[in-house]
Parts: sequence; C-alpha cells; structure tokens
Amino acid sequence: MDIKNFTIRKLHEGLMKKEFSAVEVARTFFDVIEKEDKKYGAYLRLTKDAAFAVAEHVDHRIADGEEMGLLAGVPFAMKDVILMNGEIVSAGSQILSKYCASFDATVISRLRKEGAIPLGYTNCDEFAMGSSTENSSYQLTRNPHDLSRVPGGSSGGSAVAVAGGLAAFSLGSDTGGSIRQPAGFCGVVGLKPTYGAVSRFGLIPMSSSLDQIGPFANTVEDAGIVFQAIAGKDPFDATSAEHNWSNVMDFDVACLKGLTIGIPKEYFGEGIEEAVRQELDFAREKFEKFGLKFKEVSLPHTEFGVACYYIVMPAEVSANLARYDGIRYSRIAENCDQLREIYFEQRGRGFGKEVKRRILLGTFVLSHGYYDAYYAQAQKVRRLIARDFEHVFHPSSDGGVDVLFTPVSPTLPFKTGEKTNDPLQMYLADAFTIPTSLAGLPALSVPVRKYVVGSGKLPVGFQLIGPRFSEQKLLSLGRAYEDSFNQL
Amino acid sequence: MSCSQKLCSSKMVALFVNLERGMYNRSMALEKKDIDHLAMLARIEISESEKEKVLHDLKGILGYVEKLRNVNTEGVVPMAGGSQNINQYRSDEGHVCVPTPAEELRAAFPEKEGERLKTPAVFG
Repeated sequence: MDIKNFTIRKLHEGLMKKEFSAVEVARTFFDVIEKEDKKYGAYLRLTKDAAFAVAEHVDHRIADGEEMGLLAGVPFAMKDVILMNGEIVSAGSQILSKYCASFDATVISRLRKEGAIPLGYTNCDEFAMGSSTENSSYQLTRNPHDLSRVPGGSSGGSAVAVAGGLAAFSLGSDTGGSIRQPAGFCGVVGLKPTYGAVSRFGLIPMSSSLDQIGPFANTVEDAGIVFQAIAGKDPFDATSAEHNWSNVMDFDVACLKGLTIGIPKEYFGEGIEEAVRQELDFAREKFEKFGLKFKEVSLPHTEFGVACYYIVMPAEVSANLARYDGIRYSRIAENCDQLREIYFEQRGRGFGKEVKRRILLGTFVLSHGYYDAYYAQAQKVRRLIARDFEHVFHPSSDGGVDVLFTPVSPTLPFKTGEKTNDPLQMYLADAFTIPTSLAGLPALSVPVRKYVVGSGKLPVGFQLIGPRFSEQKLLSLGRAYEDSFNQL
Repeated sequence: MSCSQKLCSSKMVALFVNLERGMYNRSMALEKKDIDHLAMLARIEISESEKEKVLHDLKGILGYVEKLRNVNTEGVVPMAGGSQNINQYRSDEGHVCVPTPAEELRAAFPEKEGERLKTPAVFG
C-alpha cells in the first residue's frame, strides 16, 4: 500500500472499502520506520506486539461488518511520557530506563477503544524538559527538513514521527510549548488543548499546573479528530473539565466571516527572525482574503512570561520528581545499603543535567526566606499574564478579539548543539508559547505552507490562541486556512 | 547559522534578558556551598566538576528572573494552578480503581521478598 499523502480520513476509507487491512497498515508503517528512522531518530522503542494485536482485532471487526470510528486501524506514536500497560516508559531518562508501566494512561485507553494502532514510543527531552529534544538521555532526534537542525522539543520525536511519515498522528505533551514549538519546527500541526480538556492520568508529570496532552497531525482536521477522541472528563484526573466536545469538529466557513483576529504587538517585536516575519505576513494575508479582520492588541505582561515560567515550573518539578527515589519505579543505584545512599546515588546518576538544574532551581525558589520573593511573586505575575488574555478576549474591552494570531517561535529551527551550553538561550525559544500555558488557554500551531521534506525550505508555524474551551473555533480557522491551499 | 540569524538571536536575548546593571546583584550572592545545600535538600549527588557549571547556570537564570521584582503586583491574588474546577467530589460509594492486578504493581517495584515490598531500614 502507498502511504504517501494519507490522512486519517483516507486511511479510514481505505480500510472500510477493504483496499487494505489494518495489519497491512501496521506492517507498512513498521517497514517505513525500519527504513527511514535511522536518519531521524524519532522512535525509542516500537510496540509491535500491542500494534498487531490491535490491528488484528480491528480487521476482525471490519470483516464482521461493524461500523468503525475514524481512528480504527490508524497508526500513531506516543511520547515517552505516556503510560501503556506492559511497556517500558522512561521519560527519556536513565532513572526510568527499567520502568515498566502497569496501567494505561486515559488517553491510551481511549485510543485503544477507538482501535488506533500504537506503533511505539518517541524520543523526548528528559522528563519533557527542553526545547530541542537534545536533553534525551538516549539519542538525538533530527529535523527531517534539515538533518543538521533540531526538531524542537520537548516532544521532538512525536513531531518528527508525523513529519517524516512514520505515523499517521502522534501524542505529545505541552507544558510551555512542547507540542506547538516542535510542530512549528517540523512543519506539522500541533494542538495544545485548554488546561483540563484532556486527562493527564498516566502522563509522567513535569509541572502539574501546566502539563497538557495533545496531538500532532498532518492536517488540522486530523488533529481535531484525535483531540475529540481523547478529550473529556476523567474521574482519575480531578483537573479534567466537564465539557461537551461533541461539536468540536463542526466546521462552517461562513461562521468565520466577521471574526476579529488580534495581533499582539509584543509578539512581533524586534526579536523575531526576518524569515519568520515574512512567513507570518504571508499567512496573515491569506486570512485577510477570506474576510477576517485584524486588529492590533497589547498583552503588556508578555515580557515576564519566561521569567514567571522558570520559577513556577521548576518549583513544581522539584516536588513532582521527588518520587524517583530508587525505592519506587526502578533502581539503578548499586551497592548501597543505606536508604539515604540510594536516594543520592539514584538521583545523581539517574537524572541528566537539565533535570538536576531545574530540581535545584525549584528547591531554591521554594526554600525558606526565598518563597515570597520568587514563588509567590511569580504566581501573582502569572495572574497578570492570564488577565492580559482575558482582557483582549472580553467583548466590551478595547481588545474584543475572538482569537490571537502570533508566531510559534521567534526563530527558524536552530542547529543541533547551538544552544546546549546556554540554558537561558534555550528557554527563550519558548517565549511565545509560555504565556498561553501559564494562562491555561488552548493554542493551535499550524504550518504556514505545506513544507515538503527534501525541498530544503525550513518550516515556520503560526499560532492561534483562543479563550478557554475555544478549540472548535481554532480548529475551524486552521481548517479554513488549510483548505485555501487545496482550492488553488 | 547565518550572520543575520546571529544578530537576531543576540537581539532577542537583549530584548528578553534585559541585562541591566545591578540586576544580578542579589543572586550573585549564590555560592558553591549553597549548591551543596540545595543538592542535599533535593537528595541529589552532584560531582565537584558539575558544581561550577550548576552555580554559573543558576546565577544566570536567577539573574534573569529578577525582572519579576519590577512588576507591580499589589493586591493581585496569586494564581495557584491552571484549573478552574472547584471541589471535585466523587459519589460516596465504592469505586473500582484501575483494574491492575497486584502482581503487576509488585513487578514494578525494584526489591521484593515473596509478596512483600522491600526497602532498606529507614532508621539505619
């Protein structure tokens, strides 16, 4: 079977018309991974047994004439932080190199129910901490559009799996931009849902007040299909929200006319690379052609986003990662008799540089005498950042916009190794994705053009940000944008 | 990296880092012995060779986040989390949790003796 230019809908139609079977789909994708992934390094481990078990089951149901959902028989990849029963899940870290999950994450059990085929685990920055996937303790992942450049991060492997045609879609997690930024760098679609839209039960946590699971896909429609399947209230995650998602895939171009798109001036300052600015101008002109109004707005606390994030997040990291003590999960410390020795050796040997840096930073900002100056102040600034957004989305304010349009990243994908010695430089790569995360808002990263691997052109993405639970609007705008290319 | 890219990213740093004179003052006070103390609190073994780099990096990051002190937050209620859910209750009845057999959970534990989980003595 030919898997070039496939979408979830096309795969579904092929399966239902019996042009190919789900087992053939799985086999074809594993063949492609075998052949292509040596140069990309997207996958850490394949889950072939689980994949073929699901595929065979789907084939039986199709043979029995059952009506199947869109995701049945569709192969996907998972970031190495999402638990699947019986599989090693290591969060890209040596400390969990032997950890075998004993239950399914809610997103995995929902995709199992749909009959989606799990192909394997993708590489990521250790415990999802990074913006280039270079912090993985296992391997480098390369950008398919230029192998000397990073794919972004931390969900770099998941972005590359889709960009390189090694999965029909993939799951990532986004804490400060870890879905949107690699999606932008790799020329695929990435959705960071509203905080609470998707259950995090079974997600190895990094920063619990920010983490969200979301999809990477080839098209906005595909991302929406996956989102609809994984979203919704889950009794196992108290932060998951009761919300009716049945209309999230409603798509009516006529409804988009008259929407006002805000351009936050702080996102278009002099820090943006010229190539990014030009691509964003191109995307904006396209939107203007189908009757959308643009309006400049201000989010005055934007410049404090990265600083606020690098207090709130490490504080939560230092608490969340305390559990990896060598007593639970798995042990790599050897020849230790005393409990205390196990802790120190396990964590000293098991964690990489960036993880240690963030744990120590978090320990510092939460420590006696510094708490108010750092953590409490950061939480107040976080409120101000969230209020900036509320203000521009409020109908009676001087903002009054429906959606915001911004770059995903200030730069093109950077070279491997370029920022590894300067953590602060690396952190600034997320300057345009962090504020949305702090405010808990949904944001969609869409490639400006259809960037073809091998064309030599580096991808640029734009970001659409909306109020809480506005995914339907974001997905509609993204689909209208994509359709405008197909109509040419 | 092209020249223009270099220029852009250095401009970007200047824009966001805002390295004004004096901004580093407070965190400059951080010393190597503070790293020892933090590592002890966090139960992480850090080698001598790692310490210098950690100290340097933390100073840089803490210097950068100093800019938050310039924000007027008088009367602002801290934002404690991302959720807007209030009081999540479950019905007052027995619930079956994830149906994971005890055997699988025990298998995920590093040391065991029969059906018991084993740890070194807490009071050594």
